[in-house]
Amino acid sequence: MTRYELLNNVAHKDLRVATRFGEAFGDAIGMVPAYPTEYAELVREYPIFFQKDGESGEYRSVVLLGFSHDENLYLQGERWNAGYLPGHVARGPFLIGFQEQNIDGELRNEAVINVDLDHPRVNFHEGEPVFLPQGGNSPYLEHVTTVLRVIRDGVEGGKAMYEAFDAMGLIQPITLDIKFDDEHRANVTGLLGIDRERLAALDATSLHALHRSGYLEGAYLVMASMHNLRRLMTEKQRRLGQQEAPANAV
Amino acid sequence: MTMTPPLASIRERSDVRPGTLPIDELLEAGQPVVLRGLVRDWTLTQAGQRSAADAMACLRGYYNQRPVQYSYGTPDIAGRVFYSDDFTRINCEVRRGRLDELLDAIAAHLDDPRPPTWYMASAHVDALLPGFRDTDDLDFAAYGIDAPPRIWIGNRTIASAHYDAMNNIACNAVGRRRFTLFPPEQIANLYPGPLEPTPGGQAVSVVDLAAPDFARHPRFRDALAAAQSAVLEPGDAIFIPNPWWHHVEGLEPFNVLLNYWWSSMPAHVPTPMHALYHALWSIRDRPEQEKRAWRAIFDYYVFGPAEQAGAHLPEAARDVLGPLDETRVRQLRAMLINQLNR
Repeated sequence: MTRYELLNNVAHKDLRVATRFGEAFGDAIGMVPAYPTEYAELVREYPIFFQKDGESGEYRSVVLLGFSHDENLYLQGERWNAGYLPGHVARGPFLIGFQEQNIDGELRNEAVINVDLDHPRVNFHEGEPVFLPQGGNSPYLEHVTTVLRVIRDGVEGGKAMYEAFDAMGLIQPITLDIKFDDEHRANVTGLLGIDRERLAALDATSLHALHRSGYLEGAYLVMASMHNLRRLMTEKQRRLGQQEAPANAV
Repeated sequence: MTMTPPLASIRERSDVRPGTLPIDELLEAGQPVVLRGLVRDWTLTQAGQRSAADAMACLRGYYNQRPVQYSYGTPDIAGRVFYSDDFTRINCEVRRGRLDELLDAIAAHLDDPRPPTWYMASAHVDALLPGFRDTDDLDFAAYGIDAPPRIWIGNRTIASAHYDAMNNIACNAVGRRRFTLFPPEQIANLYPGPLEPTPGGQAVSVVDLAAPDFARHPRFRDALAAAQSAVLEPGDAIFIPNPWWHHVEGLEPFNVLLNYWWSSMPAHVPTPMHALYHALWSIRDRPEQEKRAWRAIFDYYVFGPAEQAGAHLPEAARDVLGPLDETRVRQLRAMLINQLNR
């Protein structure tokens, strides 16, 4: 259930947000949406893929956190074992909304911050205060605002990028068929990625267009992010080893 | 019916053309002036002289189909865009639609003695009617002033007296409009309404100019004694100095006004309304003796001569007491944001 309200410093003056992690907060999740505006951060720690919405046909980016829908290999107790937290997670219970406002005689869709009051991180006793004692914005809220801006810019800028990749035939299915040991393997389908060979075969005009729009960098970051699959596999193998260690000891 | 003496007339001149605006002279004098015939040659003015339908066709010809926001009021408000009885709401409904629909609605009631109120206020001409200014414009650019025009379209609407924190030249292209102006010092005699919400962005006088209730608003007689009034015919314009109060009535079944607001200050100087809100918050409720002290302090730093507070200091030590350039203003803004975020 969600219950969104327009965030304000009167109705939500004592609101706090738990910033620790755990299954109770919905963090046991194998994949989260990602945004092109955070590729440069994500590429160091997460494998980035595309997905295509079956109904709308629109593309989006995701980062893989584990090999099943509820496996998050970055989650260790109450910690998130990475230097950068994906914006989708860092935004906590907050969401960008758009309000049509008459600004100076012109109708504009202005970005506003909504908060989901039924979000498991929302409470009144633990975590980061959203507002300062006298109603100013807390450093946490300033941070969330930055994160939301990255998300908004990524959603807006991403559409044209996916379209450009798609038009050039660069987006191709990727199937992960991984064997961790003799008994355990994973098969992840429905992921898409950049086709390295097709990218390499692009003519100068297409390549130049991609470069000028800044999308070429995006394509390379997505490809480069694949090395993080190794990190995921290593962590998976470590966890499998821990599970089986007691049994072997008997 | 209470009898009130006729209002003084606004000074007039008829020598001003769209390309020869006497901006400095107007600002220097600081008095309202009717500029007869200023925009009589505009295409829209000419079309309106033929018929309301021609004026509407002229507007439709430029309209880029972008959505607009306008007010709709039931016939019983009689054009007065105002408050509900308890002053918590505006007596009009804000609607979103297309300019065509608005024009159609007004056209369908041109002969209606009790029409609903339709009023699109303060819309950006450039955002809705691209190309309009190729023929119909005032040449503010010649004076290096950025004053993009706004357009006001409606039937017999009444905007209660209010001030805008800008200088204003309002051009009556179609229909007729009566302007009743009050000097800024009349504020207390005008009984201003809430700062929020407002019918049009600024606080309005709560006195009904058409039928003043002098029992409730006795000082309004003094305001009327200081008022000046004029009816603008098609093609006439008016200069309203900042921040004179103005009460504006559309007198025909279809009226179109274009106005140009400009500030006498550079863009990095904000509206004094911020300072007003801040002062309400930080000064108003202090003990009388403290308020008197702050009045002296403000007189010294703000309302006296601009150089006064810095004059006896070395130039390098004046900081915000010296001239405020764009860089200094950036620092000031950062400091205020930081200090307010508590």
